[in-house]
Amino acid sequence: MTGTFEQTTPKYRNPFDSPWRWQLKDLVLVVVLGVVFGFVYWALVQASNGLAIVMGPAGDLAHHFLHGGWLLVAPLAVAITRKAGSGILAEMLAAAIEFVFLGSPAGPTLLITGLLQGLGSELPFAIGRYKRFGISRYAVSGFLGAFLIFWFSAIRSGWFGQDILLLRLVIHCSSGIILGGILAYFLVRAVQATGVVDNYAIGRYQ
Amino acid sequence: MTPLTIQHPSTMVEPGALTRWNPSIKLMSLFVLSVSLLFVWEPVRPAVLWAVLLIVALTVGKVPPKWLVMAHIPFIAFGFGLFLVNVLTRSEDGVWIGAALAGRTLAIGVASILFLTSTAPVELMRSLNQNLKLPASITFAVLAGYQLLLGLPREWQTIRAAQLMRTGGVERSRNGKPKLTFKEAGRLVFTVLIVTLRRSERIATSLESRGFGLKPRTVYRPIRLRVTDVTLGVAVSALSIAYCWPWM
Repeated sequence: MTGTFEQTTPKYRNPFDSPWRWQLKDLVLVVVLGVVFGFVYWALVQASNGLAIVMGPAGDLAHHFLHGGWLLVAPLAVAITRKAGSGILAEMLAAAIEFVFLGSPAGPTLLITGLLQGLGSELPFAIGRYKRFGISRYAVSGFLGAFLIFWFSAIRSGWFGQDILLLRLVIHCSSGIILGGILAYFLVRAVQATGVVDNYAIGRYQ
Repeated sequence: MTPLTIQHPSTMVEPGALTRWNPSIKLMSLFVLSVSLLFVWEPVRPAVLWAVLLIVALTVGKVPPKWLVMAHIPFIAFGFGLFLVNVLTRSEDGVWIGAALAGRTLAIGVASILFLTSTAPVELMRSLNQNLKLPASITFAVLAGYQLLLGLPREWQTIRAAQLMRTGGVERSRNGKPKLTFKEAGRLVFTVLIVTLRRSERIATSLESRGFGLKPRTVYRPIRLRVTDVTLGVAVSALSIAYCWPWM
């Protein structure tokens, strides 16, 4: 009965499907994600410091193993809201929360870190015009996020003269692909399955 | 279970002269200082700066000495890690560069403490909105998110209690308390995330239903930008750039 009715009406297109049209709830979601992950990242810093102490002399490498964890929020924000700039905004807010509200030893340079991480993570999704969300795209996103930030950290912490630069890069990018890419993919799937984000762009594409 | 709370450092320190400095200008000055310190590759200048900042923190900043010592623990741990790895991985100048990096961490750390103890989050967001013209939608969403963050520890405890009710705390630690296993922690974090996502949609709806986003906006108690604020900001920025100039 309803089938014939649907065939005759023209297909309705939601104007908010465009990546450039932000709704207030998209913005609030990105901000809230940034805030929550700012706290998670801060906890991750403590975990990374703990791991560094356990690993002893190789402790500085501990940071690289966990690094992908700091890339999680960008793919999550992009995948749910599908808005241009959401990944960068979420990462920068997470960095700002980490520094302004929770007091991180890295200080305000964290904002630059957040910008680079967000940019790297969002780029693959932007190339897919915020319409393609396959698992390999997430992996590339994690890789790019880790790769971009690596060089900034290398300049900041003076890794260039060290003998283990290549080892660092390899661990860093693998962690980015696994924790910041593949894990993000499964996290998005799990969040979507709960139904809390059905009213966002991700819910309209099911 | 004692309730967990998050307290912002600014609530624990008596307001002083730094509190009256405009938050946006203060943040920008701190940013300039931290970025210019990235160009210093020897330990003497960061160490001197650290000592100066300590004196400022104890006198002008009115930071209690005990609190200052406590806040140093993560910075020292972080700085020591940086120092050690450079000593081990650099054959010639490891000690020198390692000390420089550790000194930089300490100096930026104390500067950040000064900023945190003198700036209330609400004032910072209002100032960013009014003085730097950041969109109100972002700053007020951040404040709403910050309120949410303050409630997170409580949320965590509630969900953890529910989790224990169901499982009965199967694994116990040495002192007999239920142990938080890795799997349980994962579920806990995920549940907290879902609860906050649900709440974020509710926040957006209630903001919109109260007319948030309509124009023009009026401001209650505007934050003024005084000449002294800008002068102090320019002075601090210029001084830190001059101090960290590479070929001086």
